[in-house]
Amino acid sequence: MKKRDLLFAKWFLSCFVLCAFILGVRYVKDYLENMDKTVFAKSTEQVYSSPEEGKQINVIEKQPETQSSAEPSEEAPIKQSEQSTEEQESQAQDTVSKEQEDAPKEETGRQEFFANALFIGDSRTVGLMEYGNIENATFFASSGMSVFSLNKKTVTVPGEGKLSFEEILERKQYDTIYLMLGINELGYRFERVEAQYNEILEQIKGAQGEAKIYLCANLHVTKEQSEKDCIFNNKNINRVNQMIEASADNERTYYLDVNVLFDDEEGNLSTDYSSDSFHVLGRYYTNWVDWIRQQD
Amino acid sequence: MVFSSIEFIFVFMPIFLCIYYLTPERFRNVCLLLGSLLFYGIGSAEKPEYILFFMASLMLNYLFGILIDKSHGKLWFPLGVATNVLYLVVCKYFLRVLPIGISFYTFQAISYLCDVHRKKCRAESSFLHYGVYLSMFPQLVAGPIVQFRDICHQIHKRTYNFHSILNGLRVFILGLGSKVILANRVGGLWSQLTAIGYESISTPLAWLGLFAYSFQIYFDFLGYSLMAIGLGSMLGFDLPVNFDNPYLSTSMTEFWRRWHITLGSWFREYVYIPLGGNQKGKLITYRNLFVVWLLTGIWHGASYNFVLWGLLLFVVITVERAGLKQFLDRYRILGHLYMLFLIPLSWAVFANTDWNQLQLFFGRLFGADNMVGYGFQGDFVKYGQEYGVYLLLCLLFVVKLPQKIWAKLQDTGLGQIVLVGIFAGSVYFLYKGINNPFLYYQF
Repeated sequence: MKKRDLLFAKWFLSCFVLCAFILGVRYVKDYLENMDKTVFAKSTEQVYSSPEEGKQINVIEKQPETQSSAEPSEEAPIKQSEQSTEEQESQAQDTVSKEQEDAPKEETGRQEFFANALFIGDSRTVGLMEYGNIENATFFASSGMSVFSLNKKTVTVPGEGKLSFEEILERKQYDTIYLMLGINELGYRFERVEAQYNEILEQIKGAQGEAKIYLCANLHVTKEQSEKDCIFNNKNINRVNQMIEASADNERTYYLDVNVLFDDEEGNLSTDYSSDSFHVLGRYYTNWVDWIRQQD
Repeated sequence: MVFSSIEFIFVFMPIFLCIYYLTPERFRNVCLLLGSLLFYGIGSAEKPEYILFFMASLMLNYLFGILIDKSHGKLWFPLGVATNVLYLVVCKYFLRVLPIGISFYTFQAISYLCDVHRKKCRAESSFLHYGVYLSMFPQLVAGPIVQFRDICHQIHKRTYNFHSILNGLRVFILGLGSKVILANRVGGLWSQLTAIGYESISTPLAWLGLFAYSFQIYFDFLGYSLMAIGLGSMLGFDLPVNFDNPYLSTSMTEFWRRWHITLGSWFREYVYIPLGGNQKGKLITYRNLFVVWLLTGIWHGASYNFVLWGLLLFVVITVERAGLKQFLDRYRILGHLYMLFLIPLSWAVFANTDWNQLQLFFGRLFGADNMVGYGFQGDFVKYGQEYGVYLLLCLLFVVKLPQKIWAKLQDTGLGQIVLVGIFAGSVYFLYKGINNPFLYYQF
């Protein structure tokens, strides 16, 4: 038996036992704290190796024939239409060129509207920042943001460097503040989330005396996602959203629920608007922004 | 159950191995069969009927083998092969159900029947041994596709010792690292692209994403192949190599002799050569190639893009056969450049099962004016920064340099530390990703 083998065996075994111990402790701890997150979860990876389980990258089956044409409309949600590919493409082009015609007027109106706004949120808010075409607003958002991590994170603001949440609140007085958090908190105990959300709300109200604060509902997930997951499903999301709605006093704080724009008939995120179950496709963030504007 | 998961590494594997090593030699196959069935059962927990499908396939093929052997196969051989092909086609393409490993174990079953029929080996009289052949968990889910005659001796008798077990573990760890540290990480980029929607990404980002996908698929498959071989080694089996630095190829023909080697061998042995191979003149050769590549495409998936993919590969390989390959072999730099684009572009067809999405994506790649909505100007920079390190790391491991370094390192003490480090790193990434149902992607 080579010395290397003994060495390797010793070190590997020690490492293995240590990892197993740490994982075991976490598992027991999570279980006792009533967290639904567990150390074992369904793995969905595996790209090439097995044709069966492969192709899991695009978890959602895209609808092959029909795609909705996104026509921004006043009150009604975006309609789905069945069209052949050619018609669809030319209509998409028409829609785009029409949007471009109206663009200049719309543009300045939109930029002005959000010039003194602050958006706080998670990766959906990042989507608004990147794809929503509102350049002058301030964004304090990052992937994974939650009410628990809000005061621990710094976000880079163009021209000002990395700011903490408190610094963002102190740097100027905003006209409107949009707060959308809640999904990264699912799996934590509800009472804790509720308490922390309200604490954050007080913090915002305290620092921003004049601002109108919009408490935004969290985006639903798709039906398939909702049915397969015991944590990230619409029942739990709706529970958080109800809590958020209850926190709105309709004098300074208002409740905004964008799900009317993207839901299907059953109250799930429609697969027309999402391919990853959790986010809308990049192209629909401008619709989202337009909708926010109309709610004022 | 996936090899690269906490439950496999910390629960199933240690418990199974302990039982296996403690079992006296004559009961080891029983232990392996039961363990593999349990593995299959856990993996199919949501669809328990899949185990029944598998058991049915197992029993039928065992019987077919014996019948072919006894009756000199005039009736039973075509019946047996047809049953397997029908089973695979109906499940996969009509019912759209995918029992775990169906494409692999059905191909292994067909290879067994062919070998028995051609008298290359005797039919296995022991149901236990045949069961081990079809079900052994290292190669059940994702190959390699093992031909019966290559492994039947080892099923009957195999030995292992402390050294070979540890070597198997070493290979397993390398595979685990490849999958978890490289493939899974870099794969996040492609996932994000599809979440954003192709119509909203810039052309540079489309290419970046495509290269990321090409790396993901590479290290995913490499990882899985290594883990299978490593596990096999730990059980006393010598499984065939399935993967040999394929991205270093200078032609698509060469690529498919280095990528999924056992699949290529299977098609050559059981389709290409029986049809005549390249022995019957040019036209027949092209026909045979066409059949093989059409089937290869179909084997990979039940959507039309896979058929298209297979046919594209056929066209490329035919052109190479007509003279391009000789040119590429001579001017290897051009060959590498040629493959640098051909590989990702072929994966682009492979990756998109929806025809509209496929067109859209190719449009993005080649600067078509088909973006919709407001595009994020800095998307390439953002994702380049986020994934740059992993992409470079992947590029590094595609070439042979790390393997050469490892060959020198693997016998040293430092090498052992590196392995344990890879293991610890992989476990860490697995754990971190575990609480996010959308792997490595927080909301």
